[in-house]
Amino acid sequence: MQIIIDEKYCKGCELCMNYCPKDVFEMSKKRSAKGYLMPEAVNIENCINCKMCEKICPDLCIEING
Amino acid sequence: MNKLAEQYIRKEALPLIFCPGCGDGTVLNSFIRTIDEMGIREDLACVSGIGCSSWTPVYLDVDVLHTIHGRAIPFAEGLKVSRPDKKIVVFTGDGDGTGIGGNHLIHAARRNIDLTVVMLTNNIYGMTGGQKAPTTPMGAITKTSPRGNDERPFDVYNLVVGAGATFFARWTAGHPVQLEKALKDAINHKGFSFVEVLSQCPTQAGRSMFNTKDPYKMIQWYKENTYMHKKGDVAKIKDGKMPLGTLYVEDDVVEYTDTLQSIKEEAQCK
Ligand SMILES: Cc1ncc(C[n+]2csc(CCOP(=O)(O)OP(=O)(O)O)c2C)c(N)n1
Ligand SMILES: [Mg+2]
Repeated sequence: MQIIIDEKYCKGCELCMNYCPKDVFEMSKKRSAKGYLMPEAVNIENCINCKMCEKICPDLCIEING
Repeated sequence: MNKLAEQYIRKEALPLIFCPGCGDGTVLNSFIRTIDEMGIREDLACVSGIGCSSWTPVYLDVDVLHTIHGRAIPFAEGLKVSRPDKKIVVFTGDGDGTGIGGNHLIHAARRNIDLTVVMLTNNIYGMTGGQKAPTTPMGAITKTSPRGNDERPFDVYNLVVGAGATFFARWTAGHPVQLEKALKDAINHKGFSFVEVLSQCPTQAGRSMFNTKDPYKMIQWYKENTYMHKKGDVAKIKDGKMPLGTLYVEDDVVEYTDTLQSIKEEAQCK
């Protein structure tokens, strides 16, 4: 399983983290070039490939490969 | 960027103008999935007015008309009359659609012209800084109702179906899966179809109306203040809660471009 977050377009809205039923995401302390705090797929082994994060993302920047 | 989105987005138009957590971006996301699954890219034309919500289709690499405030529907009607083969989807906001463009909306519904209108309701004029809209709840604080809105909002379902629309669905931007299905049904419906999406605006509505700028909390609020419509029931606002789902479908109503076509054929016979 691979979760790609495009930091060029992510605005750090946290919807992916809130929508994930398996708590895969956490907000990291890392900031993107635009200054937004980035989500991070910390518990990637829990991912069930439901793609809710991909579907809720308002900036079209999440990609699940699995 | 997501691989599917990459096939449909004009990268030179990025970044999206939407604020972090804006529901309009999720609607764009769902719309891309819808048109991809339906395989209608070449048959599609999108038309929009003015407002944040009206930017939704502008990023797509399909035929798009980004028109003037409140007039997306008349542009779309003109396009449909000249190109009845096209599947036309109008994106509008609650201000654009029911405020300045309200008269166009009811008359297009009355004609039952084969268009799909997607209205993104954020209960406010987002782009211009948070003025009250015809959908702002009574008592809500906005830039132009600092002591609370003294007017009643539209019941958009009653307005649009009452005027003659033959398909109406409502979801929130927090229901991307259901929204995709509703968009598909609306586009496939022959006649005037309307999809209202309650779309959170964390920046303008969040600050003044919802007491939170957290988009997830706003989605939760929308979910708590709506209920699932049961097929066969009357789609009423109950205890302040709006029904969600496919609220109205009427087939076999005469459609406007069909009527025009038969008039044309008759005239050519004479
Ligand atoms: C003729 C005209 N009047 C007023 C405006 C200013 N204006 C631009 S967007 C807007 C409101 C849009 O509200 P809505 O349709 O709800 O879109 P939102 O930004 O909330 O998505 C207004 C009043 C304009 N551009 N043109
Ligand atoms: Mg609005």
